[in-house]
Amino acid sequence: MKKEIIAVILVLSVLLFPGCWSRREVEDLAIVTAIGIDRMVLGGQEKPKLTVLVARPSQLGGQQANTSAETNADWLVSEVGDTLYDAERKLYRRSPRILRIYHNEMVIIGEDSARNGVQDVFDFLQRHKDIRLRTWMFVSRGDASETMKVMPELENMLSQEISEILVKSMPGTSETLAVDLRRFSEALVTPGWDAVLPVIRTIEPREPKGTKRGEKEAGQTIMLDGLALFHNNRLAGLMPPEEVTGFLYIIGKTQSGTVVLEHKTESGSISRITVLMSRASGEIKPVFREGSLEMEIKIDAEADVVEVQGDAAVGSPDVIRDLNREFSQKVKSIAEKSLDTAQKKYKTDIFGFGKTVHQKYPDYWREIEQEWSEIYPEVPVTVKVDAKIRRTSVIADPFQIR
Amino acid sequence: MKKDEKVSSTQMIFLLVTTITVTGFLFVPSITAQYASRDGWISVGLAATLFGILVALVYTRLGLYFPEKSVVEYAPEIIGKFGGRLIGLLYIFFFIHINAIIVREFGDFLVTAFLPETPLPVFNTVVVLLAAFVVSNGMEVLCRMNQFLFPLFVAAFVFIVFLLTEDVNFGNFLPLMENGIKPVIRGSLVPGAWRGEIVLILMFLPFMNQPREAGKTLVGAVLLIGFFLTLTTATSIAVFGPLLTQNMVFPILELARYVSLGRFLERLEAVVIIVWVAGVTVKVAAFYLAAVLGTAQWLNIKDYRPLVYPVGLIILVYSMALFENSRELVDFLATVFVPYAYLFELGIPMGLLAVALVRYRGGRKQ
Amino acid sequence: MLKKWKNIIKKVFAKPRNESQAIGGGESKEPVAVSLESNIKHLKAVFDRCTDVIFREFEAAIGGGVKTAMIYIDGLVNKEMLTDDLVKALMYDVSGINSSAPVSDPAGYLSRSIIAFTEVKVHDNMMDVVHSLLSGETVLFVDGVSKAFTLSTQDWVQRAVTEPATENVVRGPREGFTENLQTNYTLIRRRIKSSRLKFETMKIGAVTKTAVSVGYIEGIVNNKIVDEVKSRLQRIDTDGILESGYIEEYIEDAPMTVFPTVQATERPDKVAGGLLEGQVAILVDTTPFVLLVPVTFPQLLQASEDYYLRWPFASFIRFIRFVTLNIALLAPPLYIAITTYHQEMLPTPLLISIAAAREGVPFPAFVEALLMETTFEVLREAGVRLPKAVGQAVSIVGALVIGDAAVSAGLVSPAMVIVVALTAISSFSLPSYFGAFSLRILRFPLMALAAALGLFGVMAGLLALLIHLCSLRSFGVPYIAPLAPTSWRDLKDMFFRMPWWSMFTRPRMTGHKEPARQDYMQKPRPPRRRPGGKSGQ
Repeated sequence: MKKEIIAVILVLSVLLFPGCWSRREVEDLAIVTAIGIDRMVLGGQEKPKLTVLVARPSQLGGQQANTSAETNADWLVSEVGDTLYDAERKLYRRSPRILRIYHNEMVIIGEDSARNGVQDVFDFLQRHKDIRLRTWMFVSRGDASETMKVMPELENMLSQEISEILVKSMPGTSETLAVDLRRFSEALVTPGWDAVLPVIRTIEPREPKGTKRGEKEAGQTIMLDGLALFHNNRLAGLMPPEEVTGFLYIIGKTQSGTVVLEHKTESGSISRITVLMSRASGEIKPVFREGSLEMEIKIDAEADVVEVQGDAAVGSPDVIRDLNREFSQKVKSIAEKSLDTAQKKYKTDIFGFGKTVHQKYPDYWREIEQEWSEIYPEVPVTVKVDAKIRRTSVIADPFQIR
Repeated sequence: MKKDEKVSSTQMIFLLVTTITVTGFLFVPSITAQYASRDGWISVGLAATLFGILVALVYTRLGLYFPEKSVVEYAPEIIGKFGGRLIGLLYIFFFIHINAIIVREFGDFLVTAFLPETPLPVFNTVVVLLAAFVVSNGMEVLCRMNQFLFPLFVAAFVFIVFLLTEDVNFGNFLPLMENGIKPVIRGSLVPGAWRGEIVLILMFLPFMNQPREAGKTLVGAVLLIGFFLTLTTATSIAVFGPLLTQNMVFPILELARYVSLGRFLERLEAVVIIVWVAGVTVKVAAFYLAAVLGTAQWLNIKDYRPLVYPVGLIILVYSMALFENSRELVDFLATVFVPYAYLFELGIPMGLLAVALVRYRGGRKQ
Repeated sequence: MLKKWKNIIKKVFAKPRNESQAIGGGESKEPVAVSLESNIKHLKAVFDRCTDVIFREFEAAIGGGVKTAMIYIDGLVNKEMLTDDLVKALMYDVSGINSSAPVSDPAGYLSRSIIAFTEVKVHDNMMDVVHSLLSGETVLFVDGVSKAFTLSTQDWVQRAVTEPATENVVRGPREGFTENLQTNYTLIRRRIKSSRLKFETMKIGAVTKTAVSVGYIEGIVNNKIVDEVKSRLQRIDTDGILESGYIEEYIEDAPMTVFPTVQATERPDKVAGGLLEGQVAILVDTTPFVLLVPVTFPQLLQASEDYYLRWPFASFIRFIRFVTLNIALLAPPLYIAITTYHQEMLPTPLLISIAAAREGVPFPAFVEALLMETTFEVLREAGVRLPKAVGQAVSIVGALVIGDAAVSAGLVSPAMVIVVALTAISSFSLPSYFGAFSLRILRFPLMALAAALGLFGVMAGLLALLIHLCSLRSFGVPYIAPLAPTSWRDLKDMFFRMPWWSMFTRPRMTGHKEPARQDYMQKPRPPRRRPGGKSGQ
């Protein structure tokens, strides 16, 4: 027994003393919080450009935090390489600390790069040990490296700002879909399903300039602006935020968001009634009608009245009944508009029609799988909507101002 | 021989389940999905379990002719001295070889997923040392240790699956059996071979305090293993879809990394390492013990302890010389491993059982 | 080579010190002489240069005066009792007794009729006389009688029964064992009023002759364990036992482990509880620490108070204790492993905070942790050793100077201070001070493993620990029972403390001889009729 223990200790010490292979102290790390991927033409050769945002801990956490200092809370650095991994290693030339990507929150693909196909980007992201499948994906209008130059407004770091907008605020509008690497990858590899990514862009702030406040916050800010639609691995087109709402109705990912109804009251005037979605679900069903494939979309929605401009008596059940009809009409038209954009204009199957056909009619799918991209734009789609208003918030009829 | 060491059938079930599930849940989902795609869970759940029950019945029937002896000891009695001893030798080699593969899997996984800069021999040495420590303490300690760890494994597993319920998409299982039953059967071969690792019972039956319960024990173990492996495969298909799953090397690791609870509880790879390190130690120790016991019985040595370190050294060296790269390992598991394992898990025991059935038709003379 | 050394060592150390040789020449086995003179001479030779041995010769008023001598050790006897009950009685009071009665058995006659003492023993060899004298009895020689009488007059300065220093409770008795074996018997006997409670005493230590007593409840205890304890005790051959710690090291199952396989406690209620569950108690004279065997690791995590508090609180406290156990063992290793190898496992804001806190710290996390942990251990040791008044000064120095100043000087990071402080507090919240020791020691190798191999190292270390724990036994009982081998029935008193009325059985490992502890159906129920209550309320 004693000999065994000594043997174990000896072997362990031989193993341990030269050890510490992968050891890195926290302060020796450059914690990457966002990655931007662009494409550049250098010397006639197409090369990828990698931009990263690195957190500056000394500006962020703990009691020593000193946010008013001149240095930013994150450090922007980009590099061009032969491949993306090569570019990542080239960043090492400029970084005194070792780049570590495992805390990366998002990948922003530049518009140009996305239009040229994301095959190579996709392999880099999938194979990279440190990039997790739960990483938010974006397409940026213009170059990602330009978008990432923007200073955050409320948060310390840009990555925080973007992800908070995406995850916390945008569900309140239902104007974009948060897509992580898993969903993006799944859509890319699954036949009969095309990928979408939220679009991120810079804007000039609308706040007045010239005042003291305006000066201080003069720089550009970022916003999320609709979706980027992919066809196979290429960016096919952009969908504006209003139509994204319809897309979300169809795939059943609506969480909230407003719809404005125009209601003609008894007095003949037009009231504008804003309703806030409280629950919505969508279902896509492939059916065969007279031997040909059709898609049936069924949307159920519930909403509350949140604002009435005009004198519509939303407190009365009759009015509500009328409103329900108009509400359904409106939802249907929104959905159809987004269907039109995706199906007819860009011919991309972002709804996963092909996938549903595959699941429901596998034999039929085997026949048409190769021609699906040609068949898809021609598939007739019917939208059925059952939308209801449930509540009128804390007051019933609008007040009469006399 | 320390046959006075006795373990209960619950302990035996736990031991077999840990032994088989721990490597299974890492490799099986991806390998199965390569053949059976979205029907992988059927392969793992039904086909492989049926196979498992079949071999369980064979082992029980065979083992109960000689409840006090292991296969190395009774094979000569069944088919004669020369053939029997050859079979004993083959089994010893099988256990050592499988063990070397497991040790290699262990190191490869840790290098790939956690500590890429640490050399492989470090992991292999540590796990073989730990297993040697267990083996020199004997079967009871192995079972007791596993009994302590088993609830932790189950808890960790359930925890990960539970946190992923939100991301599960049952649509990924459709359409069921798109290409007929063939891919499902083909996909079940690898998990079947895994299930067949209950072949350990041929060595461990003499340790059971109630050998008559061996049948129930084995079937219980097979069902439990089936449950865990099916759940793993099904979860990874439901979360990632069959196409991503089949291209991943370790789907379970990706599952753990994918967990996110309120953006606070994220990146649960640690849970996988914990289960992996602990479970593989148990597994290596189990096969190691089988190999050492077999060698001692084959050489007619009373105490197996002096053999522990030499055999460990063989396993260690063998594990490092086995494969050139990590894909060879997976390829081996998906192809060569199947007929090889089936020979030892089904072929030889069936043969022995057939001879025994004929020879001992009228009941065996004690 | 090794053999040679072994032989040499054997030659030097093998001979046990024989007491009779030490006393002076093997004559002690001599019988008590008839002549008073020669007896006194003999004892004077034995107790040469022992100023505290008092020889008092006087004439007893029996049959016209018999020369008598009493010998005792000053300080060990009650002098008043001797004066009143022995000297006065013999010199004055017995003169009236008919001394002309024929005395065929003078020794028996004396002890039966003359010496008015509750406990009188008669000896006829000098060895016993010497032993009795040394243990505080008074020896009485009567001229012409070849017997010696020893009277139990023991009375010495002793500490009162006070609250135990190591195991404090909020609810529960405040009595602790004392250094006096008799008092300790009393403390246990007062709790278990049963004739089945046995104490078997033996003397261990060639020079010290310490009384060691094995206590158990017959019928509950497994006799094999009692026999094992006795045989292990009898095997001890040493010059002295000054504390039960000596015994512990001689009889434990696994001498090379850091885990205690014998439990030491100062609490009589704990001992009584253990006896009722089939444990064996080993009481040692001159120490308040009583040993309990067999003991399992989970028992070291249980305090006697668990059984006095109501069960929901007790269960909650047990849960907290499992948490603190893990913190005490694992917090620094995990901190090192995660911050130096697996930074991906921390939530991003936490990682950034830690990184910010470590900015400018000159040492790697491992060295930092080692530094702080060592400092803490030094402080703890200093606090225990120093007088109470100074101890406080030490803690102030520790807290302010080392904690605060080290952080503001940038020597260590605040995060590490938090980890170390948490670990320290956790290790003190474990009920067994001696069990907590083992965790404190194990923390250091685990920290080294964490620094070398990250979480994998920690896990490997923990597994080795688990294998070790699984292989340990305490007097035949697996050390981590009832966890493994699992006894579902015994888990009732493991993570939870089930209500008393639901604990029907004794632990399987120690109390299987008489498993039933109580009757079923004792769960309190509301009475059908409220006593004293008016109907219709």
